[in-house]
Amino acid sequence: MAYYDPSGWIDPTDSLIDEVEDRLKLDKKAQPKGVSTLQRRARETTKAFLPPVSFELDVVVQSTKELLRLTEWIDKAGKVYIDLIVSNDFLRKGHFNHDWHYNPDDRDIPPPHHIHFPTVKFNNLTRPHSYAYPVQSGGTYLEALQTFCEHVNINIRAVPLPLLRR
Amino acid sequence: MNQKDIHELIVSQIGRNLAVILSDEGFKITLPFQDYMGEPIEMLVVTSPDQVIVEDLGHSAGLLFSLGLQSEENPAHQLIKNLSDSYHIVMDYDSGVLRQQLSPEVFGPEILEFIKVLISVQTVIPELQRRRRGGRVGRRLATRLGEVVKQLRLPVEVQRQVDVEGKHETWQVDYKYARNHGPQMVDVLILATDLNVKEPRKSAEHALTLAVDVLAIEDKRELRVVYDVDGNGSSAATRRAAMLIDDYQRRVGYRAYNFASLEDKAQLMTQIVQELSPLTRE
Repeated sequence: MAYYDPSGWIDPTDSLIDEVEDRLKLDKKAQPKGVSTLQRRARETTKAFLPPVSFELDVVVQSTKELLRLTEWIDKAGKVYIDLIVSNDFLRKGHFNHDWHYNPDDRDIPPPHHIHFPTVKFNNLTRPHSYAYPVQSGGTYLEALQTFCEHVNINIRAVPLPLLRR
Repeated sequence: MNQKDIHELIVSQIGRNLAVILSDEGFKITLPFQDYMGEPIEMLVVTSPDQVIVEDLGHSAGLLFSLGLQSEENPAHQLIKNLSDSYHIVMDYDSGVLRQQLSPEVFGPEILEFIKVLISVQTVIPELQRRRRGGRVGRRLATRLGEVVKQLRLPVEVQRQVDVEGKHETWQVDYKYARNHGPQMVDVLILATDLNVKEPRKSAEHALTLAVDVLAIEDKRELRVVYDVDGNGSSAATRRAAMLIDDYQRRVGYRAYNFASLEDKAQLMTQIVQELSPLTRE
């Protein structure tokens, strides 16, 4: 486990969001998603439209017991998408086997892998313009997950893998 | 720039960003339009002698999944279902893709209709989510605040929906608790102010009047006004109302927090946890 500090990738007039980065630095543990009886009943009776391959994990911040959500899905072309979310806010978005990413300051990231992160000026990862930094990884869903978790200090040893839905 | 230049610019913008790559299965098409993350929208065309099948590679389902909207009860899911029904597209729950079988004779116009649906899904769904968040905040910021406060598992009971006396009026605030301030206790009042409403200015005026009246009496009190304004997704009137609340905090003596700002939200929650931790209270 570790934490990658992406501050070197942003314009000097911009800065990282302390509250996001502080959370990422803390020790976190991934676990299979907990489902309450009510949720389970709801899932049994309602349909969900899920991508070709997908799974979801609970991530617990060890010191504060805060619960984060980690999702991973793969499209039919083999692109891997990993998100780390708290409430509705995206803390990181991992894109593996993707094309170029164009950073707001024109320091563009070549294929195939990069991780998006929020900054004070570009704080919304669900908008077209956000910063990303390149990562070295294998391209399988498992290698991507391991790399992503290493960069955001998540321990995934307790998670029984593979967890693929399809 | 003359008309010819503009014409060339438009044609090159569309042409340059469109790619059709031959693969084993057929063609992968990269469209000159981007998804909500700024990546080009892609699709797959699988060909055989008597039919053509177009697919979205699972990106529509992926979008729902990323935003947590995959359940069929969700309006975003329902929108994709309605579009699929209207345009004769199969929503394949087993493989997680949108798929359409086209006849080779009318292939051209049909593929454009499929592309139209893909672009609509990738454009509208993220905005639906933003609107939903906005709307939910407008109606139930107090509930959202409550969910977060509940998650903190506070050891001390915090009063909810409490009436507090001001100098002239009785007002309702969302939370009230007492915290140590040197040898004495201070009441902390938290007010959730919905600004994503029809008349955000009135909500801001209410918050300001409440603040002036509640802080005018002699009791030791702290007031925190929480609102929720997303710089990208809120209306100009909502942003102006937020500025009203922000600008007068020092003069009136309360503290304003924007719940949409990760920093403000964390600061408020950390403060509550610290003030109510048994260690601090001893």
